[in-house]
Amino acid sequence: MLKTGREPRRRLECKVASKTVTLLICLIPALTPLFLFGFYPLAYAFYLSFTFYNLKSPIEPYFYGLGNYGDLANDPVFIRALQSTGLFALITVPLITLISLGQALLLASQFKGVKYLQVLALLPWGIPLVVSSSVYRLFFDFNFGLFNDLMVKLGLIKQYVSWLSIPWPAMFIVALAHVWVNTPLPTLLILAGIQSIPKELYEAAMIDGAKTFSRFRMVTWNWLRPIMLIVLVYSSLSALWCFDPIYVITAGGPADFTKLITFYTYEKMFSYLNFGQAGAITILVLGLTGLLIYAYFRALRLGRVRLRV
Amino acid sequence: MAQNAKKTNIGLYIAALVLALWILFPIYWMTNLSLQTEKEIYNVPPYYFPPNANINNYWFIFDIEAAVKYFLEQGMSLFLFIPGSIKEFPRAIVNSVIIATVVMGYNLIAGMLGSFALTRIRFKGAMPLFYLSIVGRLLPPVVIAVPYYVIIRSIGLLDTLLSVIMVHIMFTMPFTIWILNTYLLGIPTDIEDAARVDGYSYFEILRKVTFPIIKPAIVAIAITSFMISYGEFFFALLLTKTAASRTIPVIIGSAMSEPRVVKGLICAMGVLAMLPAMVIIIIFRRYLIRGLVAGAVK
Repeated sequence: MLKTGREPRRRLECKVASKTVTLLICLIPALTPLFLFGFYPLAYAFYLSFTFYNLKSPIEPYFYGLGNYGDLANDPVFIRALQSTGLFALITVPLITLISLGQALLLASQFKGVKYLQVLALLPWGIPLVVSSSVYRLFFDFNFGLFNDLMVKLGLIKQYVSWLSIPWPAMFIVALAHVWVNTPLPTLLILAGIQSIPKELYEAAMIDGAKTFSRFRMVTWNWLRPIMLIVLVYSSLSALWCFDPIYVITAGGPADFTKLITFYTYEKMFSYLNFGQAGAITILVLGLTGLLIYAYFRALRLGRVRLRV
Repeated sequence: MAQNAKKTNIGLYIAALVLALWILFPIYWMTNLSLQTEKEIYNVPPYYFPPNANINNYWFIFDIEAAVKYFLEQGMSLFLFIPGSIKEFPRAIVNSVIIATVVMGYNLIAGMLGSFALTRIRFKGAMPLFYLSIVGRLLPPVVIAVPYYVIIRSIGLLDTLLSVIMVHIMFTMPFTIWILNTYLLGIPTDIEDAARVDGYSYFEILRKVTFPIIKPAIVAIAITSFMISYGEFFFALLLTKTAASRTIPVIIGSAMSEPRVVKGLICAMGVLAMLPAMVIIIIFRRYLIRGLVAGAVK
C-alpha cells in the first residue's frame, strides 16, 4: 500500500528534476556569454566610472567619486562630441528611415526581376563596414576622387575641393557611408511588415474609391506605423554605435567636428589611457541607450501589428 | 487604365535601376580601382574603367617583396609607402575565418538550445530572460568595450583569438535568440506535444521534431552570425595588437587610415574581403530572406 502510494510522487519529482536539468543544459551555454561578457563588464564600468584610473598618471587607481563625471562636464571636446552625435543622428535617422521605406515599397511590388533586387538590397549589409567606408573615402579623395571630377564636369566647382577637411561635407560623407550599410536590415523589417498586410484592406480601400496615395496613407502607413517607430529607434541607436566610418574616413576631424561619442571614448581610452573617464562616458551612453530602449519597448506594444518577440 | 499601368511599370523600373546603382556602384568602384596601377589611380581625371586591367595588386598582397621591388622600379616610393601590416593579410584571413567559424558554431548550438528552452519549456522567468537578451543586443558596443578591455587586459588575454571570439559571441547571441524565438513561436506545437505524450524527452523532441522544422532559420542565423563576426571592426581593433590575432577588417581599416598609402593594394584587399559575404548572400538568399523575415511580424 505504502509503495503504491509513493510511486507516482517520486516519478513526479524525478520529472521536475529532469526538467530543471534540461533547462539548465539548454540555457547555460546561451546565456553565459551574455552575462559574463555583457552584463559583468557593465557592472565593472560603474566601478571604473567612480575610480581615478589613468595609466599615464603615476597615481595609483583610487576612489574618485563623481570626479570623472565632473571632468567630463568641463571638457569642451566632450560637449562637442555629444553635439556632433546629435547632429549625426538628425542627419542619418530620417535618411535611413525614408530610404528603407522606399526600398521596401519598391521590393514589395510585383515586377520582373524583383527577386534579384531583394538579394541586391541585402548586399551592403554583408560587406565589412571598413571596406565600404574605404570606398567612400576614395570617392571623395582630394586628388583623384570621383566626386571632384563629377562636380567639375558638371560645372558646379572650378577647382578640386578637399571635401574631407571641411566640417559639414565631412559629416555628410561619414553619414553617407553609415546610411549605405544601415539600410538593408530596416528594409527587410519594413518589407516583412508590408507583406503581412491583409489584401482585404486594400480591396476595401479600392471599393471605397481611394486613389493610390490615399491608399498608401490609409492602409500601408497605418499598418506600418509601429514598425516605422522601431526603425526610428533602431537607427538612432546605431548613430550612437557609429565608429568604423569615422575611423577610416575622417578620424574625428576636421577640428573634432565628426568626433562622435564612440570615437571620443575610443580616444580617451587608447590615446589618453584614461580608463576612469572612459568608464564614465560609457555609463552616460548607457543612460541614453536606456531611454531609447524604453521607447523601443513602448513601440513594440503599439498598434495592431505586434512584433512577435 | 492600361496606359496607366504601363506608366507605373516604367516608374518601377527606373526606381529599381536607381536602387541597383546605389548598391552596385561602390562595389564596382572598388573593383575598378583594384585593377589599376598606382599611377593610373592617381590620374586626373580618374579612369571610369581600368585602362589596362591587370591583377598585379592581388598578387602583391601575397608577395610584398615583389610589390616593394615593383614600386621602387616605378620610382613611386618617394611619396607612397606600403604599410607593414599588409604583410599580415594572409594570416588575417586565417584568423578571421577561425573567429567567425567558432562564433557561428557556438551560436548554432547554444542559440538553438537556448531558444528551444525559452519557447518550448514552460518556466517562470522565460520572458525576463528573453528581454534581458534583447537588451544585450541593444547595448552600444562602446559601453561593453571599455570595461571588457580592462578585464581582458588584467587577465592577460589581450591579443588572443579567444578574447575576440568571446565578445563576438556576446553580441551575436541576442540576435540569434531573437530570430529563432520569433521563428519558433510562429510554428504550432501540436507535433511536439504529441511527441511528448509519446514519452519523448526534451532533447529527443528537439533533435527529431523541432530541428527539421526550423532549418531555414538555423541557416539564416548561421550566416548572420558568421558575417557579423567576419566584418566586425571595433572590438577586433581594440583587442588585437599583432599578426597573431589581427583580422581582415583591422588590417584594411588601419592601412586605410594612414595617409599616402598605396591605394591599389587596399582596394584589392577590400575586394577580397567583400567576396565571401557576397557569395554567401547570393547562394543562401532564399534562406536569408525567409529566415530573417518570416515570423518577424505577425
